[in-house]
Amino acid sequence: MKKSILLMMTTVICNISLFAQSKISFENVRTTYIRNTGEIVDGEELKGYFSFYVTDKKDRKTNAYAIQVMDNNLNKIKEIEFEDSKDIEILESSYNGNSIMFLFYNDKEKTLEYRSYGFDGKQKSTYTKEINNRTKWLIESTYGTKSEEGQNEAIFSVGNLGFTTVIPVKEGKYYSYEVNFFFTDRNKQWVFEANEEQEDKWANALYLGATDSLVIFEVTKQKRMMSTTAHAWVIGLNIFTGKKQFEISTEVEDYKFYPMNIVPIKGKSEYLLLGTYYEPDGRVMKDASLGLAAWKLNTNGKIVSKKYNAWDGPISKYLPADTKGRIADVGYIYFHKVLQTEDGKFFAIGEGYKKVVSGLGVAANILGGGRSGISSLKLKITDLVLLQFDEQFDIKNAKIYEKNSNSAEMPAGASYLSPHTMALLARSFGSFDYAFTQTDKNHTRFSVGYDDYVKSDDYKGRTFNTISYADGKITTDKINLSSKAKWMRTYPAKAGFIMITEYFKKEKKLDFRLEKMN
Amino acid sequence: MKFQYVLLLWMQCAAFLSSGKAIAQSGFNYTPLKDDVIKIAGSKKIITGQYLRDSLNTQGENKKYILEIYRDRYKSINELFDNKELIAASEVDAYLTSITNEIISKNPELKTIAPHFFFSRSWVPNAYSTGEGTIVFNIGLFTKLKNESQVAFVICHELAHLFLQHSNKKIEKHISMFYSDEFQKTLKKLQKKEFDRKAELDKLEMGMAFKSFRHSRDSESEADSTGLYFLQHTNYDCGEALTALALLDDIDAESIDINSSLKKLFTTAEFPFKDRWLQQEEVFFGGLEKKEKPIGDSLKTHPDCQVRIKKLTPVIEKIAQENTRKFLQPEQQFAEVQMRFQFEIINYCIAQKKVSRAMFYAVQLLEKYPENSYLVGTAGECFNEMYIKQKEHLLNTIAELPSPYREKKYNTILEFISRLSLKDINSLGYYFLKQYTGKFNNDENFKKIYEKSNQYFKNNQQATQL
Repeated sequence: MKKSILLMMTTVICNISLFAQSKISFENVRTTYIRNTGEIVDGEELKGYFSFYVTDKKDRKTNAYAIQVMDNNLNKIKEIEFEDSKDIEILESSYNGNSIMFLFYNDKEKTLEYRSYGFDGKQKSTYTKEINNRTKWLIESTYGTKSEEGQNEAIFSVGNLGFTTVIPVKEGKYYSYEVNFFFTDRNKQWVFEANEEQEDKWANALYLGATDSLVIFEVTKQKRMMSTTAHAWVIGLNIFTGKKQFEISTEVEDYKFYPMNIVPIKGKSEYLLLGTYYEPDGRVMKDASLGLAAWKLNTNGKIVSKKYNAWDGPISKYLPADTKGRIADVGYIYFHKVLQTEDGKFFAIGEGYKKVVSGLGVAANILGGGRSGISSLKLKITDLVLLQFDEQFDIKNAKIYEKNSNSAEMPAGASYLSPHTMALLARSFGSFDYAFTQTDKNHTRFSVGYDDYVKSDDYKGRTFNTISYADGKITTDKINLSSKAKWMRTYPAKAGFIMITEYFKKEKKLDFRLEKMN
Repeated sequence: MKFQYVLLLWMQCAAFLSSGKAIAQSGFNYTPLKDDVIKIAGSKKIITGQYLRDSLNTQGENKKYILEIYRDRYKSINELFDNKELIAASEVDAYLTSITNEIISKNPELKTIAPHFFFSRSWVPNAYSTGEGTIVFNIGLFTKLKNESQVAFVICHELAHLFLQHSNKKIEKHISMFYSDEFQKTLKKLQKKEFDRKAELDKLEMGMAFKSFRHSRDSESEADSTGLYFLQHTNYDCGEALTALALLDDIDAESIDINSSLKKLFTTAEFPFKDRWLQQEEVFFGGLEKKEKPIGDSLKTHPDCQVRIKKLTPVIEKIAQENTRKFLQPEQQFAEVQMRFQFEIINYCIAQKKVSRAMFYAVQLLEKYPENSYLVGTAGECFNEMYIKQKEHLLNTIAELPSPYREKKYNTILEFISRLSLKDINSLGYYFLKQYTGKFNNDENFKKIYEKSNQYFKNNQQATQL
């Protein structure tokens, strides 16, 4: 599995002995191991954290476990205890106001299990999905990490109603997906199996969001597995029945459109899809985007209105971009997140990239006779860019936030790839400096976090930076990530904060702390 | 032994107001208590002497382990001095001495245990006997009591623990239990166990805890009745033992609306108060853990105050006290000490860099004395300190994070602080202090704090429009 869950290492929690050294105390006998920890999110809001412990061995195949649930201030709220196979770990968790759902993965049995727990810590429901070996890589490439937007990849809370999940599956010759909905206010569940009516060889679904009556996914389809032409669709499933309400192509209008976010419109059944758009004959994997677009849709998937902000049109008033969306010194922009704040404004957060010659790649190829495994061209990741739009999605401002550029080396053979394809690869490698965007339930504020490296007289080393929006104002902040710890990492926290974990090897101590950003 | 572990920190001024004294809006002119270094040195000498005597008198096979605990205890008491927690100021010590003298002079057997008494600057409503002769009365508890007889009962309760040697006996009992060959053998066996180790360990630990806590509860009841025995020989009113217990049990934590206090204090025309700073946080996952099977009452170290009252009532009814009074010293003196302590707690919090705590108590007192220059200055200083620390991302070192484990009202302050941006912290402090510039022009302390805030305000050009 992708091991980017907070801590995959197994750490013995060392309790300080209250007793003299030569005698045994309870603490000497008791051993507890952290299996992993992670965030608990409700939509885009971080609500808390979990720590998954092995507390006891019951027999050769079974362990006793405890999940410690902490709130967003790191206070222990509850402890859930159970016994299970020794081969399980938690991949993700989500909270919907009345239940927490955990996604367990059993590496030996090759099963995914969704379990929800109520306030009393008792299990409310469970659903197990067996994974065959051919599907396993799909799961591994999708689950167990936060998405680019800092959100879950597998479990999504849908108000107080329940949770929806999307699982990639392999059925016969088809790579497909399955959507589940688990109600937490009633004992009910539905499954939508896309392969039942699938014509294309390959289809993959990404959760976009939900309205009062729909769960909406962006679906990418390919005729053939190795095809370079993927087509984008948006599918809406009825929350209550699981029936497909609509499925529309986002490539048949005036431009090809690739939505990244959904924004429900208050008091209406309509909602906005936000994302980048391309020429009608463009290829999203290879070509530069033309700008940012917003489509307003109704519950039947009918497009009510469309708005386009082109690089060489309205955006050029604020950013000196050419027709291909290239900005001097910054390069092209890869968009990580588009969101609407409570005051109606829209913000798009992007990061610059350029295809440049790799000194390392060239040198390695010369020395290795062309068999170095490293491409002679790489992706240079440049500055952060923030674009602001009004309620009508008309651009109102833009700003470039300078940072030290970062390099994403590419594998051999990648030289022929377009910079945009390289950017997609860089994203999958986690090479961008953008870390996450945090917001609260009503989007009254948000903070964009990104990494940087500083070399100055005062400080040399890693920094964590934020661009925050609150009370109609943008502020920036920086925190130096220097520490005596063996390693130090930053993770999302409640809006306005970041969580820093530090591991002190000598003391075998893992410290978690919250830092408020300015 | 702790008289009362956790009480909601509240009703700071209740006792004073109940005394019927009219307080001006400015309260009184507070100056911090100054500790007498000679008295501290003398007290340390006495405590060191007692520690050495206890160490020399310790015998038996577990001597080594008992001595370790005695050493830790001695170190902890010394830390109370080093942290300037213990008060050694004649202005208030004389009052404490007048009460303890009354108790000891009427109970000659107490002279043999040679107790020494201290007020502690701690805000926690608690009093305790450390077991070697020191009895500590937190001013956080003193400010909550209604009269001198209640104070006397608390002291008698702690004296009883000391007289009955509860602490030392408990140490010896624990050591002999945990370090017995049989128990160590059981632990060693468990250590080698591959499966079900935790389950068996839990069972063993629960059994030990049950015995130990049951014993602690018995000790508390014993301290109550012995304490009452000491009290009945004095001229203090034994009936106040019951009111003290009832007060501890029924303290009204909801009497001040902290939200409206914050809003009222920090609303200015230039920088309006934002409601979202006080927005009620949604309870996550049902809030604090509620144990499926509640642990039996026997695991509480202190029996319920109502149970204690029930036990003491028939005894008190039989006591024929004459010429008893609630106050042996002038009632006003009690009120003055309480008033001074309310300010002293704030001053101690600031000195200890417990800024969120200082803010909590300052806000409560400002509700009563809005024109007090010390309180206004302290609230402003809290914002100044928070601004400086937040700039360095070190706010957590002086302001705690919200927690459902803390007192509800204090947690509201913590939620409030956690929602303030750097600019909010600075602006709130600056505009709050600015209102008083005309009034407190001659107050040097206030002027210094305001000038600092003003400087920060000028420097704070962080926020920029995109």
